[in-house]
Amino acid sequence: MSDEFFEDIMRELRRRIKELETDVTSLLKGEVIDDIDDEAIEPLSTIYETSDTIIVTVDMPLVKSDTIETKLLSEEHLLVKGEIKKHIESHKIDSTYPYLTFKRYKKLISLPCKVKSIKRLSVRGDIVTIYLSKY
Amino acid sequence: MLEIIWTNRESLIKSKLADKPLFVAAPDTGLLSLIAGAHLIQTLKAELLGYIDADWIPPISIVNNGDPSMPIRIYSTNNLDILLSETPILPSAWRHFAIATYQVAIQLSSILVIGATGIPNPKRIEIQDINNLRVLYLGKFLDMEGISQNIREKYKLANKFTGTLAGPYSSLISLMIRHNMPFIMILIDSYPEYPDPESAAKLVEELNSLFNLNVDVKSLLDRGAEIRLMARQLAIQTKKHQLLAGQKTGAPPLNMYV
Repeated sequence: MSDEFFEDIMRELRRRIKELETDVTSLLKGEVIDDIDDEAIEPLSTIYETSDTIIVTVDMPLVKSDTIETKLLSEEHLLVKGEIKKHIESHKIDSTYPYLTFKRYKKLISLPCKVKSIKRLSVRGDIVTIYLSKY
Repeated sequence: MLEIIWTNRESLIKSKLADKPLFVAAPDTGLLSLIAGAHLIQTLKAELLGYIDADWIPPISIVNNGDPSMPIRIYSTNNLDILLSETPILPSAWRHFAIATYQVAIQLSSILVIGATGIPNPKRIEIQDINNLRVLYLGKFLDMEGISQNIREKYKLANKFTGTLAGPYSSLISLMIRHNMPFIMILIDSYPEYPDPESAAKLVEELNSLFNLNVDVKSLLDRGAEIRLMARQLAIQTKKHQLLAGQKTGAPPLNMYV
């Protein structure tokens, strides 16, 4: 058998290992991490970008809308917090958690670029949308 | 390796003779079909028929109050069989999942395969009334026998989807076309990245209309907030798989719909 034959096999093997690594790495990254000490759930969020605005949405089911706080900790980090109307027992979120009740949402969001300020905030259906001005 | 394990042979035989459709509920955009499937199983007190065991299924056990089960299970109700996957299917396993679904449909003698997924709508937040959600259909069965007049009429009147579809259901559609098996896909507006119990409720209403199920959606809507919280991790994993698929196919996973 020629060297080329073995090279083809090795190339295919390396490609499949790379694929498997990507699959596994992606699965392990980016999980939500709740702050058990602060009795805070980390909500899901998304980030969209336009030419002059970063739009962040945060899904906060059962949030008390008058307790929602947003704060730019730096030009690239946004903190979002809010109290939950009905405290959530930890086993309903994850049965491996110690017994406690979650009372609030808290999330520190890394922004894709530097922003100047929070332009606007809106809340609909327990989803908070934050508009941030880019430089 | 793929094995379909039937745990209740008597119910399996009854299902085979009943000419029922098979609803495929797997995690995809909005987790619509999974939330709807779980709601149907609970509300209709569906009977467990069996499991799928395969080497492409992640090593996950679903444990409920100390009772472990496999992540991909098959259920039976009077009017509908349900194939439920509680684990997201990796893009590399989408075709395997489609083949397994086809095998289940063959063994159950299903008259029709139904799938459903969300249309990732960035403006979904502005649609607060579920009656205003877009519902689009696609399918291949009109020239096939054995499908009820009610389903045919409903399909003819429905808005049809035009565009490109990617994801586990796309692999399923390809296989259904190849084997000339009747199928319908229902697409409903949903949040691109969050679980969407309200859209799942709309899906249940569509299934009620197609198959005379008469399943109440109020309890699903009332538990919407709780479901969104409990399904966070699953929504993240599903999204990651969609992004992986985009990398593999070279096409963006979002906003591929009309």
